[in-house]
Amino acid sequence: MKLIAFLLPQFHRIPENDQWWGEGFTEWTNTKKAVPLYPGHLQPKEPFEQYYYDLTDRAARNWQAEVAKAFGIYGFCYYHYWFKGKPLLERPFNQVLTSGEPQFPFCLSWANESWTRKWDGGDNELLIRQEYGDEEDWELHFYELLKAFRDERYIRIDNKPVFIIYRPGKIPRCDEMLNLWNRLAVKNGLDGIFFVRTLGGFEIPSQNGFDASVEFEPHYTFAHGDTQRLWHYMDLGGKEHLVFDYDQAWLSILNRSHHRNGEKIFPGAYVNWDNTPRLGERGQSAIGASPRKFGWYLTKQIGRAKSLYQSDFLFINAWNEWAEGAFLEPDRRYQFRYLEEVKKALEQAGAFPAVDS
Amino acid sequence: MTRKKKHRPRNSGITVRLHPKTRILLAKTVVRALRKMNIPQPEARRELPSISGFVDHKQIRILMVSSLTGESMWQVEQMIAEQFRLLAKELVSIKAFQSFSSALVQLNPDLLLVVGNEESFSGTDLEIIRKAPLKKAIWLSDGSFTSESTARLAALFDYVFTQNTLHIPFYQHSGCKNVRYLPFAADRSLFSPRSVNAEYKSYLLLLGDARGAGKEYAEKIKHLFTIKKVAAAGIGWEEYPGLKVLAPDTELQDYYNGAELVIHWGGPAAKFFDIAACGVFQLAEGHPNIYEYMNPGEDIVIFHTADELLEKLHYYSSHADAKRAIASRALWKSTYDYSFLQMASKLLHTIFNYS
Repeated sequence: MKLIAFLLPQFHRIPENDQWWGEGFTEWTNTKKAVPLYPGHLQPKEPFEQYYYDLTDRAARNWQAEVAKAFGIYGFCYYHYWFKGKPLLERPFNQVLTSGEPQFPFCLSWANESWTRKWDGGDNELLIRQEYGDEEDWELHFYELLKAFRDERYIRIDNKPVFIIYRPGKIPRCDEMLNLWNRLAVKNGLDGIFFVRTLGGFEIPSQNGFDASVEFEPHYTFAHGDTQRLWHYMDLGGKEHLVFDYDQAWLSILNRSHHRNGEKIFPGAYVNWDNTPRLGERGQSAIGASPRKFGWYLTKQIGRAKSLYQSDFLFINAWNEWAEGAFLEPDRRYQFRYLEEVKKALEQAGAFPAVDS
Repeated sequence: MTRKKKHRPRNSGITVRLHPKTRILLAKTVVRALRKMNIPQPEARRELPSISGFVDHKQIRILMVSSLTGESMWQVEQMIAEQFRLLAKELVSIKAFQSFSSALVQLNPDLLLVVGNEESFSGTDLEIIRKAPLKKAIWLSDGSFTSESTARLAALFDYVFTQNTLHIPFYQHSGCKNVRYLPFAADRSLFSPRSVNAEYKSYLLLLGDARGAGKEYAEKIKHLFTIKKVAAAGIGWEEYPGLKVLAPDTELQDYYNGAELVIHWGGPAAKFFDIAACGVFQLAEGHPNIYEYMNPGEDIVIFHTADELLEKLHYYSSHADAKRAIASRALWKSTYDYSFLQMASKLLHTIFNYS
């Protein structure tokens, strides 16, 4: 069983964020200003030993991989941002490529959403619009990715680099683009690209060209699970805050039919969810998360991955989404408890230590 | 010491020899126990504890007589028994052997529940059942067909539970006063989400005969038979090339699990629940058996005409997550809404709360 954790690179300064959010902005800016909104609301989330790392620092990237590996995470899935020729937040990953460190498997997920002030990928209050262009732009994008695809650490299936697209439904002429990329991949000595669509919190149209789908939790469950009774409004002194039950969301995940449309599916897991650091009471938070529960549910989901999905891979949201409460990294409150649960779950599945990581 | 030694078992192997006094003591104990068993127990309280319509099912003693035969239903029988153990005070489960009705006298239960109608009962047993002064119910295994003899048997019981709503008027006409539709739940030891080999996989699995309305359905969607992998179980499919036609006695659970979409017509309730328990999406012809337990659009999708079938097939083929949500809800409801526990509970409720 190979557990892959999504990794957010927004832990370093970029000029665009300085301009949009203020001088010195990183994801830590959001987490530091978070406050508890209700009794038992665990905010702010603080990293273990106050390690507010900068991902342009090689030591931070190596530390992440060492910790992940020690607890059995197989690899990272770095978010990749590309706005028709314009990359964002690319420096940490480019440094991973050029430095050859850390020696840890990885793949990419193209987070192809517009950036907005509401952090919702929508079309209002745009910071930068996601556009796709045509063949010339696609080719440029491919050659940007090729550097990564050729890296020996890149995670492959059927000898093809695994490339996840977050919202393929937003890409006009998507299958043509995927076709072109596959042709270019072969032309450049690869066996092709293993394209994976994200099953997330949005409409997912039927599209050709994908080799598999990945369940991105808890968003997929929010949008497509049986969740009419999941959400509740909490009254915060006249302001409404949306909360959901941590266990109920997991129950919905674990009771979902593994049958979708006959395609290969990589199941997902979520650590926790709380995006109030970004949105305050306008955000949503899970009630009742804990490391032990996460371990329990992860163990079950690993069992499902093996027996029902016949999948060697399971994707966890996330390694370090601190401003969304979705992180495995050690923090001040729980220290390494979430990671210890990952290790325990893998041990129970007979998958720790990993044989081929 | 010598005396003790004398009576020690000489053989320490397989045979265990007991002291003669111990043997006598044990024999007497067994005889006493047997005598006690055969003495009719004191009359159970006929009035069950009831608080404004509430009946404590945990006070009820049930004699369950299984008339289900063969290997295919043994798990069903055991699952039913298990639910009544959870719900009632005591469940004694026996097979419908010759003169089984003597157990009625021995046990004096609050309820005689016969499950299945596959064994033919002796005249004596039928007479004892008829005269027995207790609540009597039969849960028929009459999914696809029924008969005059089944109706005659059913008429001996105060409560009749059928697998098919279409049989209700027939049993009522035959003298049964309380007839209710109560299908068996899916046998979850057979029907559950599974990953299957390629040989069982298909885009469409069709269940039903390609005759009458079925022919119309088949004609409407036959353009798919050559471009998609389609399997069919039923009569009349041989004339459609490109189909994988399943033999009549094929066990279908792996085919259910291998199908992206199951289309069926004809209506036995078992099929609805079995497919649901595999977490597979089903598009079914509208049938009276559906509506009491399932909710079209929620855990199953219904069609009434060939055009409607084609339209819905197109829609759900291109809306994979809507299809998956319905299949997931059906899977959920297989556990929480139409499992054997709910069915057993409903049976007790019908007998003890409405009488």
